[in-house]
Amino acid sequence: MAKKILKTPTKPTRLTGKSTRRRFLAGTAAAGAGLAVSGPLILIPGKAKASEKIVWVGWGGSTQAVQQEIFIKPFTKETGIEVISASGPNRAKIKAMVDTGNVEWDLVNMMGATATGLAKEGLLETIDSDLLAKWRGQSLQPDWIKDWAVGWYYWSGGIGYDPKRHPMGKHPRSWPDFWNADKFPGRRGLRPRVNENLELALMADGVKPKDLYPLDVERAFKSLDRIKPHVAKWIKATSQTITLIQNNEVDFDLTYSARVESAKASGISIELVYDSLLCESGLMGIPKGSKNKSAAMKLIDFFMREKPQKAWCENRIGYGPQNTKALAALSPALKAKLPSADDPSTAWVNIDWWGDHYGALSERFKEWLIT
Amino acid sequence: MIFVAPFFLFMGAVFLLPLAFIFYTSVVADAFTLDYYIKAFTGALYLRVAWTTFEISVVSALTTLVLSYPVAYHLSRQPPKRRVLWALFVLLPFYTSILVKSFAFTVILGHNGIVNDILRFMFGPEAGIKMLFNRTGVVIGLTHYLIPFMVFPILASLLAQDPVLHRAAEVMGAKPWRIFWRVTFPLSLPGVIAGTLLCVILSFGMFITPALLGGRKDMMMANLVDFHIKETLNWNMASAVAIVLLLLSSVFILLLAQVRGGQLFGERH
Repeated sequence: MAKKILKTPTKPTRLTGKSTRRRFLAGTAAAGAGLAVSGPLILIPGKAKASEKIVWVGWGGSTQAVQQEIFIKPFTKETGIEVISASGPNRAKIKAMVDTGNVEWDLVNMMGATATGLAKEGLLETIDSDLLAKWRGQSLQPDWIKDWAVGWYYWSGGIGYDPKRHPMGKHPRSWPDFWNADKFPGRRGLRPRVNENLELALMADGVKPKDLYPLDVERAFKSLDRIKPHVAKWIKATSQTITLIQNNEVDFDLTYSARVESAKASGISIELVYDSLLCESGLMGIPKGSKNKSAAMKLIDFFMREKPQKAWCENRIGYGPQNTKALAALSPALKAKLPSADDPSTAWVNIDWWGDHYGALSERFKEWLIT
Repeated sequence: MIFVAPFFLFMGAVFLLPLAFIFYTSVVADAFTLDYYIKAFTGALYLRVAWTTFEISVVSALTTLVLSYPVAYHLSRQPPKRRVLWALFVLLPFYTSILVKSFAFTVILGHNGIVNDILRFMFGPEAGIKMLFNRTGVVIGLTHYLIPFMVFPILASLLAQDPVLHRAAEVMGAKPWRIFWRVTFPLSLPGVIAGTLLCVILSFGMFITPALLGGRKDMMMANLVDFHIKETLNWNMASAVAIVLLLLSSVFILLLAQVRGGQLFGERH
């Protein structure tokens, strides 16, 4: 059964894709070409056919180069499945691909708060339940193992500052501190998106990390009103969360441990407050209509393994493993920079909550931002 | 006619068809709806962003005009060979990627940027001006981008003037300043208006500059389209905003066509 589905020839699919596009343009509701092959898939053990090939999409940069070495190369060696790396996992592109029946990506990295929207729109494939069950038991955040995507690592956001300009005692150490401009004068930097900000605003207002969800939206916006006049820049590009501190454009901002650690390694004077972090999930999902679903799931399985997860977190300091065994195997020095699941000062993003609210709140936040 | 057919086919396929599709997306979600347009014309977010877009575009175009007119005037007084050389310098910003320029501006205009360092050196530590991540930053960035689009239309209408008119005014005893305001400037108005309209139209569609150099209030309509395409995945709303933006620009394009035809002044210059 599984084999039969897998063998669904690519050529007719492509033809369907074209006619779908035409029908779509003509105004008929689009039925993605991939729907034809959306039956349940079962992983086939053993080596794949030599012709198997998938396109995997990462966030780019040096991080993806490291992932290439630690995950992709050994995976190809073990399974014989060729992996083509692409970068820039743009959700709009996924939507365009699925809508036009022209799905070129097989496995895509996504961010927790925004990925749920893709699933809700029916743009992601359902992942094999055996695979999910296998990893759920060994996961730091089992809630991040979804049937539409698998959270395989996390990153941590916190307060960044320049220790030369703001030595010990002169910088905020928590989100209430960050919100307190009288006690800690300075220009703030936050991100121009609703997720993260609502969590930070509530923590600043005294909500404990474990009590965050469901988010009290009204209270969060009221709290945001208080910080608004002190935010010098709503930082769009993640890389700017480092450079703006470096160039003395902001004093304190929301930045990320992996970015800070690599900036420090290259000699930039920057520090992160490690005891009030907001951890967000990095997931991987399969766009609806991918022609290489089963191979993509094998790659997900590989990404979840202890050995490569440990190697990756050792190489890129600041990223945390989803695999609990990998976390346990890390050195104490490294673990100090990675929050554990029960750390009371750390907030973990609830991706289900965001799935229900991201669209509407995003627009409300934009409106709030320009007024 | 047959020879222009390929052009129309090409434009039809790569421009009109996608445009029709965008229009379609803006009025059809599951069924026909005008909700997105109603939102685009009544929602606080949309009205405010439309006004910001208009404001930034007009201010940038006027700043560009003030800076460009003397440049165009100077160019028009040069011998042709030297004019070509100077014109190349005017075109320099045109050849640089707008993304690169925007990043360069953060270095120049920033708190510790070259301009503020000089200001503080000259006038003391309190003399710095905030020129980044606010409206000023956006206007500087846009003006820099727009200058070539203003200089050349003005230059064209300055060069088209009959030099005999100048001499006639001189013979009649007019001083240079008077000649400029009574002869040269009025005759260059079609170029001035065409350049200004062109700059307004070009500014309407900008989104990198406000995103990188602007503050939280400097959101333009193109940023709103980008937001709905990439963040909320609400392509219906994005399409409606895009169509509204197109209509706004069309008004100015029609005006521009009027100036180009010389009809705004009832005669051809």
